[in-house]
Amino acid sequence: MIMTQSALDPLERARQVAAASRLFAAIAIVLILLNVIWIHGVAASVRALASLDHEPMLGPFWVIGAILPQIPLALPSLFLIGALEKLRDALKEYEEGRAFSLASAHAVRLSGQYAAAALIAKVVVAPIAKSILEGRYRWEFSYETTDLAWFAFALFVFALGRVLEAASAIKKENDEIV
Amino acid sequence: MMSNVDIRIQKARAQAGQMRVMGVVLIPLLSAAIGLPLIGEIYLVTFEPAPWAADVGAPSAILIKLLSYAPAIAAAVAVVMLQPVLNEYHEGRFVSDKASNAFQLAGISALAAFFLKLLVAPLGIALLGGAPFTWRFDPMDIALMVFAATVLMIGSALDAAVASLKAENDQIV
Repeated sequence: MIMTQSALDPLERARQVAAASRLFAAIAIVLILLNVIWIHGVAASVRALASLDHEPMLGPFWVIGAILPQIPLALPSLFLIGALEKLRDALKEYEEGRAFSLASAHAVRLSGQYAAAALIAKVVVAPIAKSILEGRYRWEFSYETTDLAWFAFALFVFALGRVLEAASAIKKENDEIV
Repeated sequence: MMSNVDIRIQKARAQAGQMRVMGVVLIPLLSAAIGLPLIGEIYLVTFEPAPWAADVGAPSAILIKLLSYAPAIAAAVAVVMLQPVLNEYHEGRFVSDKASNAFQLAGISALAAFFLKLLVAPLGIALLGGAPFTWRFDPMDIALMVFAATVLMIGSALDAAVASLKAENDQIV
């Protein structure tokens, strides 16, 4: 099918926006990952090793025990990196001119799922896992008022992804009929 | 007899309808979860002020409380903004200007929430005599901010795709 200039212009703009956004998301993923490694890996290890210098009796198992609770704390950021990666997949589809494709809709749905999982990890999983790994065995939660709003936002993105999936399936069938 | 496409359209509309119901339940819950504690805190700083609230005075204390809830309010607005997208999809308008605009507005509100949380609220609270300003760099906040920005970009890409499809259809007609 031949598209004239007026139809191509917005599509070209969409592709450019998608390409720029993909790059932006990729840079953000690297920065967030570095930040997670720094805060939950390097800084926590340095702190634990510094304590070992002051108290040599603590031993290497204590160091491992001090670093281990950092792993669940990194979980929410890692889930969000997954969400961003999925949004990048959706943007790749847009960049290639497939705005209403099954793959892009699927990626939007998964990104919503990952973002919702990140918030559950932040509010419930990470604090409880940390308390268990630190030997306190308490029901602890890390809840801020904005978390509920972000959870709802993520659920809506998930829902929109599902609807877009259905809409893309319709478009695919229509295209096949034509 | 319904064709396969009609069945899919019905299914997509039904899904959008279910999500709309979820929104109808979720939005009042969200408003209550944010609004009720805010009202309570404003009441407390006005009529039973803690020492810090008494020090800064009731008007400043109220503003401090409003500022501290501003990010949550902006995030809730982002959720409310997504509702018209589901309305459009429920009506069967999957390729719609209104839906893609709402998508973009939701992204903008979500980004505003982060600027409020990371910069505006802490700075405003410090200027009003509340807690001193400290730069808090939480990777989770930054990741959520990029997520919101990317949702905004998806809205923008969908908007352009809708414009392109419309232009194409107009030429066919």
